[in-house]
Amino acid sequence: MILTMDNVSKKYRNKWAVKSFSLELSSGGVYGLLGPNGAGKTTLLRMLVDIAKPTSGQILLNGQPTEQMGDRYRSLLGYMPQRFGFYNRFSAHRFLMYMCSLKGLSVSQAAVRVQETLRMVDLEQQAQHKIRTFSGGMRQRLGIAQALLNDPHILILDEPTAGLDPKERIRFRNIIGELGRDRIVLLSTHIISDLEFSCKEMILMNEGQLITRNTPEEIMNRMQGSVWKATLTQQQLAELTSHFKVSGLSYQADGIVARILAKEQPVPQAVPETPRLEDVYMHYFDEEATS
Amino acid sequence: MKRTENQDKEKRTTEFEMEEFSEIAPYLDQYAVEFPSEMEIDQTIRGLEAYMPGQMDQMNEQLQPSPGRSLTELFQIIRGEVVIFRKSYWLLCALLLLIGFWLGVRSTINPYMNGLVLVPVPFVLGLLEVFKGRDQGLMEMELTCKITSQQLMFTRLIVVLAANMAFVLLLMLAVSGGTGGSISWSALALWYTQLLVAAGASLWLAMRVRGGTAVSIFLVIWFGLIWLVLSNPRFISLLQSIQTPVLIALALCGILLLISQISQMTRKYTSQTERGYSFDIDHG
Repeated sequence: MILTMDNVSKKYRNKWAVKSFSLELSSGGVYGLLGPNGAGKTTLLRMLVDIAKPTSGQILLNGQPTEQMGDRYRSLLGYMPQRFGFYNRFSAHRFLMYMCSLKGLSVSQAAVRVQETLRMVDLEQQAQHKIRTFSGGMRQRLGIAQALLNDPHILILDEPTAGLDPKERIRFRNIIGELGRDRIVLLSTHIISDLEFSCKEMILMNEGQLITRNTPEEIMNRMQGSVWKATLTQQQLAELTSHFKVSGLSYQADGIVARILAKEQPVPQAVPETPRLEDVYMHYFDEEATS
Repeated sequence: MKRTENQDKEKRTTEFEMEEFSEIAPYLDQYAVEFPSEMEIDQTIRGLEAYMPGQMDQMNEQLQPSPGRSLTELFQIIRGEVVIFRKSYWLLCALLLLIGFWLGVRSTINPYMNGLVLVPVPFVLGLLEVFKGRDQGLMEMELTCKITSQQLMFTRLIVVLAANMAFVLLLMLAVSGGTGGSISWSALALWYTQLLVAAGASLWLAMRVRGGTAVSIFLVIWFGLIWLVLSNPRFISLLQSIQTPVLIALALCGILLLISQISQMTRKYTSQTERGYSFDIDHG
């Protein structure tokens, strides 16, 4: 299955949220969409899930415009938006059964899928609890569960790990890695560690445009020789930050250890470092990454 | 025996090919062709996958509408509605019916005039159910489902309107039975006309403000208007003397308003436009 964005743009009033974005995604991998707040990630995802119409360009599934496919396309989708609510008086089980009916699953299929997804997101014990009693993390997991109900061919998740604790995030990454083996999974985030292990390709976007796409290893390789580590004084650091990007600081007894992004050795005591995704984020988006 | 002959023949051919290859190998070395990278191979496979007829046919077969699919979907929507409506909504409708009956039986004026107070209330309260997904932040998830928010709201609207029509009929039967009279067809026509006008107006309001606010505003205005009418004998006699053509004209206005709002709702929440959802671009 191939999902193609063909020169897609989206304009809100006088601002381009997404501009001339072309991309091709294929089954069998998790794609990480990375960009700072306001980069246009959510708008792009909304166009992909058919709730926002591109101002220009088109989205194609196996060469067929998704706009023409309507509910045939939506029945292949699983989507978790960035912000969402629930029917709070429902139990988790009842809510998922309700979502199954909207997704066109039969009662018998729904009963099986609800159990499976509740188990996947570790909410089996809370299945009969009212959603209003759920914590933020539990609600987030329930949001992930509803996206998986119809065993989607295309799974699109917008900031899915926000509010999850580290254990839940690891569990989530494992689920996504497993799901990504035979379907298209697109994961939007600005949390670097979500992408580091499970991602086949990273798609970097900013100001509505595609900056680059490649494997995390290749993107990091490109930065080989551009990341340095040095122990500095406060004064040296102040001077360096005015010329170079600093992707990490650690205050230690003998000074401040800084990760510096520079084409050439920025200070004599600087030693080359292996690039990390945080450095990539800093390099492209010029702001500190959330890890 | 024949097999051994064939094997010998193949062996001789291979030996000959190897000899030939070793002769031309130095020339071939001048034209080195780089082996493509894993990524390039992968991209080529992906590019060609879209044109593989087997896969496309399978996909289309899976996605093609089958006979009876619409009927199944309709049942699925209705099943969803049964789950989604609060039990308290139906209990409230039953309670309103009892109150309507009590008001009709105890009435000192015209028993059918008291019914005016309650006639559109089930529909107006039902709007809370119709717009629940929108008001509780589920719309974005619902919009990406096979059965969309737009279809859901439309179905809920039909359920609420049908329920209110049944409510009006039951109230008429109860009041006429309770007062020992026969069914007043003119009062029934007045109630249905009033229901259609109120339904159109309340839907217009609910399309513009949140469900809870719209319902509160509408009910305050409604009860205020009805109180004005019922406290003035001139208005009561005016209502009682409305001619059938006028009633029909008013009912048609109500129907037109209702249809225009439903059609606006369909346009507002369709994938062809933004489905009326105000997206916040600052959280891209």
